[in-house]
Amino acid sequence: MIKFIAKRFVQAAIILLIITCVTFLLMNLVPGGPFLSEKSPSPQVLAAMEAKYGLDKPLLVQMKNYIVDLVQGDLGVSFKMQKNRPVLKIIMEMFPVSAKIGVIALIWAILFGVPMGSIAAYHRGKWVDSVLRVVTTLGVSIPGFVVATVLLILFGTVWKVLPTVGLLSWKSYILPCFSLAFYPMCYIGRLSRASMLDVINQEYIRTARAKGVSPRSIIFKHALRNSFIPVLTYLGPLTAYILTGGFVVESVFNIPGLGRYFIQSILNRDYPIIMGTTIFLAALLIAMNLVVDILYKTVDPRIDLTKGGEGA
Amino acid sequence: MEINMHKKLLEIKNLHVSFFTPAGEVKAVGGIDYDLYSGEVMGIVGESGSGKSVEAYAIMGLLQSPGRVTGGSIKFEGRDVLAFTSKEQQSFRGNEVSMIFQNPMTCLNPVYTIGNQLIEAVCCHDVIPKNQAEARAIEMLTLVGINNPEQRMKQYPHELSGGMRQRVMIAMGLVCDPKILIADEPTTALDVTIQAQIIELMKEIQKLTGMAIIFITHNLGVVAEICDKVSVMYAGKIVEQGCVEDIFYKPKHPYTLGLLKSMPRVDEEQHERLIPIEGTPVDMLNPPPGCPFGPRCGFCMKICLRQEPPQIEVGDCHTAACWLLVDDAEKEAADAQ
Repeated sequence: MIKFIAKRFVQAAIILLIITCVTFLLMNLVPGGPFLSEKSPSPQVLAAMEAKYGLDKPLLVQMKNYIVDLVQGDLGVSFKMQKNRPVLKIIMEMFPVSAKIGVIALIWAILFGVPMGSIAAYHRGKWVDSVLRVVTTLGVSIPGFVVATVLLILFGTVWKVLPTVGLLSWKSYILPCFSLAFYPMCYIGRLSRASMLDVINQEYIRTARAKGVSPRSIIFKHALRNSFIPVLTYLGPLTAYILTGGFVVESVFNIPGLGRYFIQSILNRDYPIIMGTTIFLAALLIAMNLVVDILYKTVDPRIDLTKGGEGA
Repeated sequence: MEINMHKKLLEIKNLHVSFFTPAGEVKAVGGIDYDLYSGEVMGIVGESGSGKSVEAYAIMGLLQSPGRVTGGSIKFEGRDVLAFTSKEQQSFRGNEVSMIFQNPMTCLNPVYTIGNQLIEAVCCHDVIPKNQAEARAIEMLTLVGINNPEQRMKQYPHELSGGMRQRVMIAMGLVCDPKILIADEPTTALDVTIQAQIIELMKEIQKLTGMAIIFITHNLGVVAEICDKVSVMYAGKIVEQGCVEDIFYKPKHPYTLGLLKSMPRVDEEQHERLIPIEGTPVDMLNPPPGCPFGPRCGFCMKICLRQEPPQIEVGDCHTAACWLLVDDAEKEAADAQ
């Protein structure tokens, strides 16, 4: 187990390095730069600015410098958006806001998604199944900004029961969390249904019935744990994405989270923030995949982590 | 044991089971009758699709949509099994009648330990402390010949071999001390040496506990080995029924005869050719009128293709459903109807 985790850490470092290089190069490939806008500063000012942030050096040297700093834990300072503040500090400030909504949304998605799928599978072909199928199909096909906007209009302006912007009270969490959770909840519901259907036709379920196990225990003890594996696979990347915040939801509800900030940094060409948020998201993704792989072992004892332990 | 030797445990009368498929109704079991007494080992033989497993599932209430019992009755110690509420059915399954299946590789839940699954089987039926259930489980594992049972309790199914898993399945079937054990082709998925061990084990356990066994198989060798009574099934019907000697030495139905002739024998002086049964099994969606075996039968008469043969008593507890056993006058009378 320790060997497996150590191996995965080495792999993670290599992957992060590759991601860093590719992002750095791609980012610089785009014409223009952080200090160019409609009202461009004079060439002298521009040159001075570029010299200050080291942008006047050749690209590969810039990249080398960035990586050397990165290894030492220095993600640089923001060029524009929060001038000269360390990127790491900005991320650490924004991440908790996104993560708080993300965690609630994630729990919501799992807590409702898995039972929805299980119930649909158990009542396969009956009306419950049909209703849930319509809901989940809608959920995975309606774009997030439509869900968020419709909810905002209905609950925020038409019925005026929930606040529309910011995160001032517990009530203001309901709409963003639900909007963020809706898609994964429906997706998990569909996944669970499919995998539950597969599991309840397995022979060990028949054995459990033949033993006299109650239907409830068959679903919740024997079937659920076996059907959870595909869901777990999806949960790894989902957790990383949902924790770093949905751009759409954060924009619609005006929440100062990391997701929105990431998109803004790209629009503003604030290089260190683009790099910082990308690397942060990548690291989180890799970490979540590792956690999922370890959890596999707990859910399914047949999985052997030491053999062919690739992934990430 | 001798005293309750002749207590009637199971009484099946005119049982019909159908599967309602999009293509039409498949009459998987079309009216079978038999009785099972305590301490008896009954073999049910027949080819794939003859309804032998379906009939067992009907007893256990394990039929799943689109299959259901469409007629007849199943009585266990006088109680109507088909009228059980789901609560009654739960306490019936595993406790009064338990069942083991064909493929031990897939019949144990892969994510729980052997111990967990055995203890669950005990605790479904008896409210007893966990350590007692555990002791019971270990006792059963020892009984089925698993060495180091304490250790095995902590293992997962994938850590055991096929033969071991089938032993665990048997232990699980026995853990609540059922009156009947239904074994649905318990040796088919195992290799031959392990098959012999499992049969031997089941014989020993049967002697020890005195429970009745319904042994479903397509292997006549296994039947000869373990059974007291045999029912031969074809196309959802019992075509011949009798004690094991009757079936092997005095078969009356052409199908039974065909089965016996197609079985290799090592005691034969000259190595005779095996004679297969010509033709293919019945299409259960459109069964032919008359005797289901008629179209494949070497002795087929006109009446066989028109009228279903009645069950004819040909000996003590030996019946067969064949027009060959009916005298001409009766045949004509039946045909005229």
